[in-house]
Amino acid sequence: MTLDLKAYENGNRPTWCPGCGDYAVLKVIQRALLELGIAPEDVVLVSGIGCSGKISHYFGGYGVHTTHGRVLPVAQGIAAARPDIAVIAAGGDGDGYGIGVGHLVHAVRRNLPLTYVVMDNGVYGNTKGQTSPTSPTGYRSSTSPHGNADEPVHPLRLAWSAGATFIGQGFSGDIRHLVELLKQAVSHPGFALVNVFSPCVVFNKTHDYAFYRRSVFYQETPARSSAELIQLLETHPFPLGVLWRTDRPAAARLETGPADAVPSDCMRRWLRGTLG
Amino acid sequence: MVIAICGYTGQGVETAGAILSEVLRANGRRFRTWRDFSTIIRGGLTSFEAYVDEDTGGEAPARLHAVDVAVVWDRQAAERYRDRVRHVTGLYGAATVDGVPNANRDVLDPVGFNLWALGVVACKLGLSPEDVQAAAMAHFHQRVNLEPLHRGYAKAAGSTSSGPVQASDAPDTAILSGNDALCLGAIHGGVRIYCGYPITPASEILEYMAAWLPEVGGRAYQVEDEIAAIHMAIGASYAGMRTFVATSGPGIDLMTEGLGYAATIEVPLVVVDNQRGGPSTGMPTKTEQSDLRHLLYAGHWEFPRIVLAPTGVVDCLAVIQEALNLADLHQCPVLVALDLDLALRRISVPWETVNDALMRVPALRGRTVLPPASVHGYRRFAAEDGGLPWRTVPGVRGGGYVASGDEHDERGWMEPDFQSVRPTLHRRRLEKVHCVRYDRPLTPVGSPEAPVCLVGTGAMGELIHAAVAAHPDLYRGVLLRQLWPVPADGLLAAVAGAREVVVCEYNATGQLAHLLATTVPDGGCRTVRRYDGEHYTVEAFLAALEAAGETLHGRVRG
Ligand SMILES: Cc1ncc(C[n+]2csc(CCOP(=O)(O)OP(=O)(O)O)c2C)c(N)n1
Ligand code: SF4
Repeated sequence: MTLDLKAYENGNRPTWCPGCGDYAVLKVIQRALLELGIAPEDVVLVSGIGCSGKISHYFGGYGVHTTHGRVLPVAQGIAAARPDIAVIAAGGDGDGYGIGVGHLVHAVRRNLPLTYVVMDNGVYGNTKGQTSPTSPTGYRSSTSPHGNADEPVHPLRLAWSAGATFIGQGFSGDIRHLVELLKQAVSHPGFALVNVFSPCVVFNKTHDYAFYRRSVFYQETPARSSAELIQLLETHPFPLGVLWRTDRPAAARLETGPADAVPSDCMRRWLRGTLG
Repeated sequence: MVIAICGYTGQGVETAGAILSEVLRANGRRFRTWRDFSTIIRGGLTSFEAYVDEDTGGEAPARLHAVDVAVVWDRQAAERYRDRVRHVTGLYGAATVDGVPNANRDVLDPVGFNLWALGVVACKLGLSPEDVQAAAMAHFHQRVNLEPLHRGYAKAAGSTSSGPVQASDAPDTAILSGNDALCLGAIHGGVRIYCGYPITPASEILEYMAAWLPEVGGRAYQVEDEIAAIHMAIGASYAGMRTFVATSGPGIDLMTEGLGYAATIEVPLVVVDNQRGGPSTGMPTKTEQSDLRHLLYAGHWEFPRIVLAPTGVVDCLAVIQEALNLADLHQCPVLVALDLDLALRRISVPWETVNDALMRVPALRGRTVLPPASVHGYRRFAAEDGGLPWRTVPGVRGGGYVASGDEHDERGWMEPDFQSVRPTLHRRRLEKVHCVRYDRPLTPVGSPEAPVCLVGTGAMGELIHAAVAAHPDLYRGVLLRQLWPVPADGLLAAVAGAREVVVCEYNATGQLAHLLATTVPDGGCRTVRRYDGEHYTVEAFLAALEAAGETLHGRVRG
């Protein structure tokens, strides 16, 4: 059977606002999988809660729409249990860098093979535009009417410091670039973080498409050293591309196949061992 | 014979116990052990107790109050056992401890105390010094000074008349704790992936799984918290692999979020609560059965669940497998209530008994569709025949659907017409546990003629057995294994004709009694409750039953 884009759709019409950056992310995931030749039934798209979290509802393979912030634990459970299945986790910046940020640090450390796409719009879109962990200092919203007092989370640096083996960044306004980036992330044999600037056209009045078009910087090759990465992030706040890649081994996963019966001497030996 | 060793935590009391257990097992002796330990890693009191039979085979009885030999390190330890030794000559200890008979004292170093004590009790139990020495050498990988062991032996030999009891034809015996049994049962039931976070008394489960699973192609992950553990388990189960999670009260609090999610996406999920003293951090090393209400009601409702409780150590082997089956058959969370006492006590069990319990439960996956199968026109949450829907897992062609915690339609799509899905899909989901397909909801014990019926779960199981054995004309028992939904018919039949129903539980408020109050005839039962963290000895349990019979205090009305 030859695959086409339709195979990655399920006929459910997205209810995002017209112009929302998340449309592009959905399209990009579908196209990247098609170009990689991974059949839809061999993919699970796991999403969090938020506008971005709805993405799994529009995917033609297996979709898992988890609870707020738990996208990475669920995705890792699938990745650990089924090495024959590709796992893409996706969610918002509130979901991934706010309520779920603890899981991010540990998923990065654990390095189970999966791709994590964060649709970073700098607001809590679904709950109507409150300040999010990536909103800049001074950002005004209903929950920070006098300006956001907090330092924003810097997801790429956070992932790097936790030992990330793949860090990429893309923009919903450049689909072709994002498809290539995602293909590399999905092919990466460990945990891949892909932060995507995905504008919320309704609530975020400062970080819109025009802002990103002005601000992004295309980085052709990953940084070759930590110093180079830090330097890059200092000079260009919005770099796009594969920015960091190392080959630390991924976490061991289940060996596939049916669970064979365990011989009884094996169990007897185990019991002896528990006494010490 | 009951022996006890008591020193401060960090002195190796448990190590001495482990070596003794191994020698007893190798000799085919029937025994059971208890650990009583402090929350303080260094400095608190730790006791190891063992009941050892002259006989071989069978299951050893519940804990007894009376102790034949107690070896104590200091005054505090001596005070704990002074009233429990049958005769003062059974008390052994360091030269510095008052109250220990002169002939039973020795000048001891804190480091060698455990081996000295091991020597004393091994001699009293008639174990050969060579066996004990060999087991100790093996335990310490040859690097140990055995001088205190020999001295202990000699000390006890001086006051012992009986020579070593020759090992009879040693039957093949295993030493099993509730935690051991749970892990063996789970692996036998097909669990190959486990995610956990350390917590007393469930840490051992993570430790065993980490040691054992890789040998059978499986993996264990120590994750960042219990929220991660339950959600990883949900992911693995969604993907078609059997798994479970185990924790204790504080971890159950965190896992609550995952329960509702698993129930909503109708993914099988087994959650074990190794209950300890609560609330909050509570009494981490002490037993309790006080999480029942939480297990029954946790989460923002309404969703289906099944709650089981094993009734003894051997029962854990089967119950965990039955829980895995029920989770698959009903596509919902199954909670298993263990308690610290049941989880940590070790008993000798003939290997055949272990094997039988393991084999009794065949794995049932219910309506699960695994690759390489494929499906057509598939709707995950549709159940045309009034039964359960079919559940595909990734890799099944045509089986894609959305597993959403948002209310959804039959495809799993969110934002459905709520007016139409709530009376249909939601009701079906709620009602699927109205008829639980479980064939062992409870076990009656003793004669149906006995007037007083004792009801309990978990660690209460063996005490109820002991009480019925002691007073068969007065007591009968019901060991309850299915707590929710309450197996009303079976329970009514089991208590039929009883003059009185006494619910026995380790908590302050009578949670089980309240649960059963609406089912038990006349709307009420007496309760025997304990919540000081200690578990009953048989003698104390019988006394508590007697006291409950005399007072009307503790009567629960439905
Ligand atoms: C435990 C919990 N807390 C709060 C919410 C409410 N909530 C729903 S979506 C959301 C914010 C999502 O923001 P983000 O992850 O940035 O996604 P976006 O909507 O911007 O795509 C919140 C707080 C929830 N569903 N669950
Ligand atoms: S509110 Fe913002 S994030 Fe949500 S769908 Fe609309 S544009 Fe997208």
